[in-house]
Amino acid sequence: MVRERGIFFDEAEWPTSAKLDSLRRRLYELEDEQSKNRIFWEEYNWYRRWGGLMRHTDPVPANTGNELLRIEVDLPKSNLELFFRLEADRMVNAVLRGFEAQRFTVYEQFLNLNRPETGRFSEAFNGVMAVVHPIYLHPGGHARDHAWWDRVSTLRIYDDYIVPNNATLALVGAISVGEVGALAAKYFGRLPRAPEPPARMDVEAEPPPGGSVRLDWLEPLFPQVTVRYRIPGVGHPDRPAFDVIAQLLSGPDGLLASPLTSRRTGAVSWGANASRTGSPARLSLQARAGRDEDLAGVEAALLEAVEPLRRGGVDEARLGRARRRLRLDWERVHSQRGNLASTIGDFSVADEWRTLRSFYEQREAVTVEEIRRVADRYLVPWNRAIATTRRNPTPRAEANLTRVPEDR
Amino acid sequence: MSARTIAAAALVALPLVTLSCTADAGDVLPGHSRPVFEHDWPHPRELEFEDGGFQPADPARSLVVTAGGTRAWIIEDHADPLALVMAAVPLGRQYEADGEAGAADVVVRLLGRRLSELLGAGAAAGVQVSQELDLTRLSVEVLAEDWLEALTALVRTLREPGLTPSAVGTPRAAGPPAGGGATRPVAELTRLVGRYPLAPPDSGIPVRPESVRNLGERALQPGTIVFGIAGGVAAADAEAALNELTSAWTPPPGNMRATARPATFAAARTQADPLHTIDEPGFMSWLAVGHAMAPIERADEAAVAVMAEIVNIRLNIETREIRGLTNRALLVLPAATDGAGLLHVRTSGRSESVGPLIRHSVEVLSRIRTEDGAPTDEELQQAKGGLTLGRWQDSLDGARRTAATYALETVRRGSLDHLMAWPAAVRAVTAEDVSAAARRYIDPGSLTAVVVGQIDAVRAARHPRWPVTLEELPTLLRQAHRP
Repeated sequence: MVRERGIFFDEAEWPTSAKLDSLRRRLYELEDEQSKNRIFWEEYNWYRRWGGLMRHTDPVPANTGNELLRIEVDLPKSNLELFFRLEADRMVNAVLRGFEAQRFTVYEQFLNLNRPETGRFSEAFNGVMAVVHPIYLHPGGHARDHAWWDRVSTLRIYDDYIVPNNATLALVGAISVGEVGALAAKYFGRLPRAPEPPARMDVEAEPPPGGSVRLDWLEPLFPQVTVRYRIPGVGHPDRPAFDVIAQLLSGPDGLLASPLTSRRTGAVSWGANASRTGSPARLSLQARAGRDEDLAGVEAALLEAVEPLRRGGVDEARLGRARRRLRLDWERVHSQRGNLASTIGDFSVADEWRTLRSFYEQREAVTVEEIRRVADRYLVPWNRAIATTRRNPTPRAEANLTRVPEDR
Repeated sequence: MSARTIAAAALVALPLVTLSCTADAGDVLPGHSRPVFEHDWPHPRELEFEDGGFQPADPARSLVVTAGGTRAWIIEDHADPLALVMAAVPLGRQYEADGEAGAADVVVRLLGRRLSELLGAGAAAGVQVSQELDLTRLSVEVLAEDWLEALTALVRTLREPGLTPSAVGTPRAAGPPAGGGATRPVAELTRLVGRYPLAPPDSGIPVRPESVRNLGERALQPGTIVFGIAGGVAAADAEAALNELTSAWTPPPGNMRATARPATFAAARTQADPLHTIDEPGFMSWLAVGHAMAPIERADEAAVAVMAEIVNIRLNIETREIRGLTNRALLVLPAATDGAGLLHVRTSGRSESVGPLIRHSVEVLSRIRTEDGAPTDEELQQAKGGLTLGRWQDSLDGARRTAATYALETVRRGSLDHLMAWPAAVRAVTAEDVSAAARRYIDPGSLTAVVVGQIDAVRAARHPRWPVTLEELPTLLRQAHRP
């Protein structure tokens, strides 16, 4: 019961008096007693007992992405009922124990996300890409959010979101719908439907801002330039082409390589990727340089690399190689059941699970003309953000590195 | 047939079927916001599961030895759209001879570069090159129709590695990584408690081209490398191609074979000062606490594995679940085949967490050695299930993974006997075995801790509930062996 007091105090700031100190000692005794009698990680240990492997990283049973919470378990097929038994119960009967310790565990994740070594920069760069979709509202959270993580709001999140009508099960393996149907009916099929989850989960893409955004990061980091464009989210018919564009740009023979190497820009590595979270999502081109002085040339080369895409200047041979790499990528997802289950879940949240098939089919069929069309529409200066990081920025944002975020 | 086999990736995406029944109105329990949902489902302990009948691919039908003596595990799966070709090579720091310190890193780097070059820029291939103390793995995953190109590139890389003076250049041994992050304290701790080859050679020492060539010649021989070829490739075709690609591949004159150095624990050292701090700006601290560990007796290996599983869970319950000191704490055992190396806990946390994290890590490591800390039956069952039904089966799940596991195991131990006997060995472990293994291999009194972080902030911080100062830690660490 000591964990049920419903409010959080920073114990370091508790007032002191003989009576309060005595109460505090008593509280700690009760907490210690409760810890002795509590069963920790009950579900997780049942999984382990029967061969369950957590897809995230042991010993953490669940993980959260930008838009979803996942419980991903790889179980021997013969033990599949355990998953239904434990997760159906967890969905309706979970008792949220150890709240204050877990608060700090999440706080540790927040600190980790905001580390000076790239974490703070990544969060800040995401934050300038868009303002409406929640993944751009500083995805790792702000320090001030910590104060709002109380028992009431946490229980409300559980009630709003951890409900059957907001969940998707993806089961992949040597199983049939008939086999799992009986288990689904026995367990999840009996759960009461909850009120619909909050409508604000679906956010329409905001219009392009009409101007290029620039972020010159002034905490010391490796010299790098990143050029980003807003692109449609999963579910939009234009989105699959950007996976192909990222492939065309990447690699030692990609479109980025040509201007970066022929101009002797000093770039030491480069790549491109297209994200699948949020609306808009992002196409990112980045190149790391050996020296701060090389950044201007690297940035010019990155911008130049986009031009052939907009002119329709991609030859069929290059497109064929990109398609082949994408086919390998798909088969690596498709042939590994954990990857496939996770990807189904991602699509289910981003749009709906059926989009998975059409997405990959469209990706296979993208033409030079389609690339030219979407590049001409989306890869334009007024839809772009550029960020630079430097080893020796001037001026240097020194103080940010040494203070805990909430002290700023 | 494997219970985990992906049979053409049978896919069920099951949006939940929900019925509009109403839960019984009832009391809301503390920590629980909804009325309890009454059900008659069995308790998990009452669930009875059939033996899944898991059987790994038959080794007797999978091993191929070419005319030249090259061994390969070839496992065919017609339904697999991918193919894996990989090589397990007895190559790593432990195989460096006198005067060759640092050469293994250079050989492995050049092999990786050569393999990528031979595959060609922009190839549709997933390349992985990894190195441990006594084993290097090179693998290429490709579309099934590309298996021959991948195998050709891999064999050519190993036959003609191009370890010429011009390719080698004038490299020097690398130092530990700079800055913060999880790997920094581990790298520093390794250097503090171990001597070469457990620890890397001193940073900056030059690596001679002839060392690189000699190490390469000893390691890259047809009789020492073991291949794995699997997935959507016909076994007969793969065998024929391997025979052709390795024909006339002869060992260099003198036939010097790769020989691992003796047990790395001989190079262990205990620090007079058990606490080392490294000042790095930032609000996170990164920690490693550990000691050099003796080689594990063959008969103790299963008990040590069970012990590590149990300690890992206890560590996270003590530091994360009860106290919220960190997001994660991990006990890591050495990866070398003989089991010798660095036993350590790695974790991270805010400034006030540093002292208590080290304290509770030491306590967990100490407790497992005591009578009171002996594992419960439940802990034993959970650990054994995780190791056998979980990790062991997973390592042999599907053709590609199985072939790779067989190849790595063949280089590590010379046969699959240990691998195949592993589930039975784990199932036979008792609580007494775990306690004995803990007493034998964990030595809390010789633990050394490395803290990388903003040390002035760590020194000033006090956890309100479980305060442990930086100044208290040396005494705590050195007294840890006392009951």
